[in-house]
Amino acid sequence: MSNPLFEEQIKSGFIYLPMIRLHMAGLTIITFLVFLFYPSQSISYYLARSVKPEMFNIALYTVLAFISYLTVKTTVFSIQNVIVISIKDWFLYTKISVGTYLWGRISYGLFYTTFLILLFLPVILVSASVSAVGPANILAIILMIYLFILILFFLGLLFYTFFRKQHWVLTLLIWVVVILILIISPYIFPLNHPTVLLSRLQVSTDLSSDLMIPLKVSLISITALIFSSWLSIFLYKRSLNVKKG
Amino acid sequence: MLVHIFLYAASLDHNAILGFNGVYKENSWTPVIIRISNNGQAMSGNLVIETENSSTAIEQKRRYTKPVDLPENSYKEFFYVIPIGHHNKDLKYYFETNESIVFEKIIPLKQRGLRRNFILGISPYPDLGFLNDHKEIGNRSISYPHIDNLPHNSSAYDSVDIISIHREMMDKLSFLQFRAISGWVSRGGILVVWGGKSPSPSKWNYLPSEITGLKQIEPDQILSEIEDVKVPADSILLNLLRTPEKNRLVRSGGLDLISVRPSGKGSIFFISFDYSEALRNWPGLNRIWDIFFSAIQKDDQFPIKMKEDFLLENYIAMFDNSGFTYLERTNVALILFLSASASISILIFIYFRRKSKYLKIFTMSLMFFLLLLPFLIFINLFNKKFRNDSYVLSSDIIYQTNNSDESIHYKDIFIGSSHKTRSDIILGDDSLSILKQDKIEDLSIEMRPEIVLQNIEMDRWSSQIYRLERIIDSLITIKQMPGEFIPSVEIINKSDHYIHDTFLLYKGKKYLGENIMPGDRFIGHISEESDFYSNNPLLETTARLYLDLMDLENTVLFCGFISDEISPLEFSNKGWKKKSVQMLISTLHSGDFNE
Repeated sequence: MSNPLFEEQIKSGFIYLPMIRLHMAGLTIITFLVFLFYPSQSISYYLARSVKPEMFNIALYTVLAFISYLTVKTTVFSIQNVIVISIKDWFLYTKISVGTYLWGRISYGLFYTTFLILLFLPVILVSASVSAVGPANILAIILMIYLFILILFFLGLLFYTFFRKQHWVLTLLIWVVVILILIISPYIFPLNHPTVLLSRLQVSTDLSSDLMIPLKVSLISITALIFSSWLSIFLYKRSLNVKKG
Repeated sequence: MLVHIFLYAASLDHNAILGFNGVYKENSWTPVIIRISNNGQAMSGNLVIETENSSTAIEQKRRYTKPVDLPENSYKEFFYVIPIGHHNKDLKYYFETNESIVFEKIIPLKQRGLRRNFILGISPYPDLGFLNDHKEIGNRSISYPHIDNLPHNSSAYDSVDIISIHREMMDKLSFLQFRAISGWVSRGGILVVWGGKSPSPSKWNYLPSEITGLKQIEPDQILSEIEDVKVPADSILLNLLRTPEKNRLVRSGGLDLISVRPSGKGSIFFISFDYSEALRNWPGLNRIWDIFFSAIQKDDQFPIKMKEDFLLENYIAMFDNSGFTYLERTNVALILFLSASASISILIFIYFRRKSKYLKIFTMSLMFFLLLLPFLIFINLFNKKFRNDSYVLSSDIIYQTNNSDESIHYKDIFIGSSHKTRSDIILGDDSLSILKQDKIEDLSIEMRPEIVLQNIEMDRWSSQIYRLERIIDSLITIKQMPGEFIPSVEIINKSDHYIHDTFLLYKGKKYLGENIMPGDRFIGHISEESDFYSNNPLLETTARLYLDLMDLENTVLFCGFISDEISPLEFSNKGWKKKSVQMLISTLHSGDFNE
């Protein structure tokens, strides 16, 4: 591993038996739900009545909740309460640059979110295939979930760089912010707010226009969050150097 | 202009009838009749019904538009068949001209629709004595629609289990009504026809027995075959019948009492006497109704499951492997097991090698395997084969016949790729696309389409495409060739068109025909069965779609097409949308045909 942070996180967070257990538990629960809510009728039954089996929504939102939980926990570095090297130690005892630190965190974030999405993708695909959701619509939904998870990750990263501590209050704070965003967003984007976006994408006939605004907003948010994190780390490192000096 | 509109509105009387006297079933196709009389000056515009069946998850609004011409002092009725769902809000209908909306009215859905199928009673008698103490009838709703309010479209009867009709009323059915009901029977309906009033044969050659006369009998001896209880009447009228042996169900004293004939998936019962007068309190009627109810196709174990003949299901069922790839639970288990075991094994592997310097390679391979698995599942679920196997669904809109001898039936057919939900079909208000193809429009002013479909995109995965199909049975004649060694029919092409892809259908077997030039004739031999359009699946689909609705028993059917062939390749071509195929069908009933 070229990046020491990435390697550190893989070793302390990812390749870690409780983590594997956690992932398997999530997969088991969602698999169980899929069987529980498996549609009892053939797909043509639902097609003819313009109703959808609820299974896709159940699987989708369970996966989303689970992945969000894991992502937020990971960003504030405290899954399974493992003590890890703090940001202060990195800058005090190594000669790591701000860029390397940030890239280490981001690359692991990208890796981990991709891993989570891929882990649950078979379940999502299976549930979508029996729930009258078109392939293109599924891909659009997966893309939006991925972006949502990334935003959560970068939000967590920003909060971590602000407070520089791993504490459950931080997790709570992130959730409060996310819930606030969900509540406020319908007033800002009446047609594209996240609470209806996933439902809309399932039945959308014009994906390119339906995706355009959410995609732009997500990418702008991610860029802004990365920049803020960088600024926060940069200022923190400078303050450390001032103290040392 | 306001005054103008006010004057328009004042001169129009209109009313709407929903379902069968307001009785309808949820999540089912429901007939709506709107009658308009125009006492003022002529006007034309669109008559629109708007429905909204939005739930929390799905927004679903539909508009059903019909172009309408209202000449001076005219009276017209317009039949719609629309689905009404569980969440449906009140229906709204309005008449709009180019300038504005002339009138607008709400059809309230005061109570929710029924959850189960109901019975229709069509009778000349105002008090129709259905048996309230019969357990099935007691549990079911019965509606007594006026014969004029019976829909012309077989899908409108989807929510009906039994139609109980008196024979003289059956003879009063219009051709379209009769065809709709017979189509419904062939898809699983039970038609119960009561005789005993008139000695004349039935107008429709459809009953299981032939009526030869009328006789007054003493009921006690004859009807004891059904129920050995004294009949509270001295005499009843009984039709004398000539019944083929296989159609006889109950016979007593040399007289046929009940006969039955299967037609498609359904049955037609004929009872030689009338229940509504002398026999009203006779317990034997319970027995008879038991017979009818036992003939109904039982719903399966899901209480809300509707009859299988719901349109779309029919047409999806026509193709193997079409529509969605519906995964069996075992396949799902397999896929999930595969995904779980793959990720577990890789994770454990990495766990044991965590101190290795090859960490990067292991991480990469983990991602690769995880990526590979959903990719393979995706390919498997939505591969090209399934997308090309399109389904056809018909909104089964049969527009109307005009008053001349020619009958012209129209059908709208959706041909869609295999993964779209019905909620994506938007019924627009622009009907020009279909009207332009309606070349014989000037024959009758009523001959207009009911539903127009638009906003159908071709160039996307999720595309819905449609075309208009016209079925014409007046441009060809079919008759049996006498004196031929092999049973043969002669088909004459009276049209100006070249008829291609012809075939004959007799007793479920297909006999390939030849292409027929205008004015030419073709002699078809019913001898060698042949493959049915193996090289032209779309035409086959179109033909089967329509023929599926017809009662083809003991009928020789000729079918051909008079337009360019449509190949599946054109699915990806925008020009396809403009193409239409015209289908010619002519039948020769078995009574005229001797093998």
